[in-house]
Amino acid sequence: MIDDTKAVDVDPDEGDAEADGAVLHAVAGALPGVMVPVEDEPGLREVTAAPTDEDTSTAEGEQRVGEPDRSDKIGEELVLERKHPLAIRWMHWINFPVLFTMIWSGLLIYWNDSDNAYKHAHRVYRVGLGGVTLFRLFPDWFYNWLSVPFNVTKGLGYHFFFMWIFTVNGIVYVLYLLWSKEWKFMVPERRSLRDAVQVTLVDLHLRKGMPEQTKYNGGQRIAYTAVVLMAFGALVTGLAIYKPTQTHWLTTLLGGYEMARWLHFWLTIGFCGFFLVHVGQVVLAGWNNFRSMVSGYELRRSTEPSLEAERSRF
Amino acid sequence: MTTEEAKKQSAKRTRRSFLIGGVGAVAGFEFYRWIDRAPGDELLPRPLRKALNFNEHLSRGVFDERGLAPTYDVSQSVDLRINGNYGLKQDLLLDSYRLQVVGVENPKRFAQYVDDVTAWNYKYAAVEAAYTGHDTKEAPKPTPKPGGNAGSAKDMNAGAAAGDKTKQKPEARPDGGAAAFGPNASPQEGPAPAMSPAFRRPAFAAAKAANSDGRPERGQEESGESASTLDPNTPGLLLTMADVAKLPSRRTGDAVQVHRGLERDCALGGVQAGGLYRSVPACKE
Repeated sequence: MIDDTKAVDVDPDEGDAEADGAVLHAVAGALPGVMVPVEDEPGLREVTAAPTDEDTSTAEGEQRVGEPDRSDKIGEELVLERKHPLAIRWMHWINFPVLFTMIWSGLLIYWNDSDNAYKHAHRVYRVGLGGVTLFRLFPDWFYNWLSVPFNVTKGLGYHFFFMWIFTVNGIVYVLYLLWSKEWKFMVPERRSLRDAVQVTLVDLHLRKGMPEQTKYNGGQRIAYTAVVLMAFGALVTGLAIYKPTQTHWLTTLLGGYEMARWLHFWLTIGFCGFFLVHVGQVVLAGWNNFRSMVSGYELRRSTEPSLEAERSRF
Repeated sequence: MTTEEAKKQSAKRTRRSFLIGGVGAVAGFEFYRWIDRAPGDELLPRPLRKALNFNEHLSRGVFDERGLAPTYDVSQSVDLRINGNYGLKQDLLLDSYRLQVVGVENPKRFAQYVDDVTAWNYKYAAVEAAYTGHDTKEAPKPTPKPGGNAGSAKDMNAGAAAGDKTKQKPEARPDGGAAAFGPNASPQEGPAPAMSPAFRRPAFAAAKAANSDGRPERGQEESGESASTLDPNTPGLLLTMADVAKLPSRRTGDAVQVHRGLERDCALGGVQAGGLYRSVPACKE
């Protein structure tokens, strides 16, 4: 894990400081940086975000005791730069509760399953290999914890209401990405896969040195593009099991009703997995990054590549 | 722009955005609460019900009503799951089957006209399947195997309790299922009692009273009196199975969808409800 005792910012070695600078730049996205404890505040403070942080206690220009101004130390100015356009922020935050409503109502429907094998009521799908089953989805404690049983009517009601918000929001989002050319920040490049591996290894503290990036690193590009494709998949498989008779061509194309249903389910699990990793990374990336999804602006070092400059080249 | 200016501007933007975001979050929360607290329409908050109706209209507009669903070989079929044991707890004697049709324009011109459709006495087979509660998720047959489709449909109630048929008087049922018989059915009559016009009315009232919130126990709602129950002395038509079979029919998909009772998508013994509507003009939606 993180070496909490080593404060990066007080490292006297200039060369190391520069190396750290490269890392700092790279993690300005949604990736974890090195955490150092801050004496006068509970919890951890992130080095990457700290120099750019004008949190309430320091916003009035009051210098925190024992914490030198790193931007001065490294000799860099901070600049405020637009990171996320307004439309993307709105659609991102609208999607958050709507996707959860879809997952929750989907769970209510799933409980009321049609287990044609008559063997595993409410637990059609499993995790396992061959004849070995690790566990079935979902156990009773889970259902009871979320008050799932006997709520299929509510589930269907919410699912078939919020599907419209989910769909319209998603379509407008993709159209906006295309129109604004923001997709160029997001779609994986040739190097993205290699970068993603490196980013993952750095995250796991197995390797040092984040690859160069602009708005998103390789891992983010792959993840964010994948989740948009997953949403499209959820819509298509959802339609295939919503109207299997009328859209039988689609259902057949997806491998039949049961296959489409299987895909719909595991895409949902995929969303849950994405959510966990996404939130974890956002927490690790720190306040400056999280805030940018609300305010749209992020503080960055003047020496770091400019997003606006990159945008103007699109 | 100096670092200090950037920080100041950032703080300003952050405050403003979080204020707007907070207002947006409250609005979103109110939106959810509005849905959740909306008065119910057929047991569903009205906004959700309206969305379902909208989806229904849209589907009818988008999808070709005359489009044929793909058909498959019988060997590819598997047993249909029995949704539950609601409804008839006994086998209806098919000779006594009548479809009650009311609201027909000038119904007296039809030979099937009667002064009171609710007065019809439905007759039941004496043997009653043991009550197995709602959806048991048990196989309708001991060994369900793909390709076999014999006899699973007509054995709805007996299936879950295969081999467990007991000749008992319905009144002796422990779950209050005496409800299957109306006020006219006295315990002395024994088997083959007549269905009351007011389908299980006393027992339904009892179930209602038994529950503190004024609604019957879960699983009893569906087997009780429905909103469409007709008042006594309602004139109309009584159609026999043969009458129903004579109605114009067309084959649609195998998937029978019954969301809100008798709808167009609902196949009725091979006869589409839509055909019924057309034959009986005043019934049109």
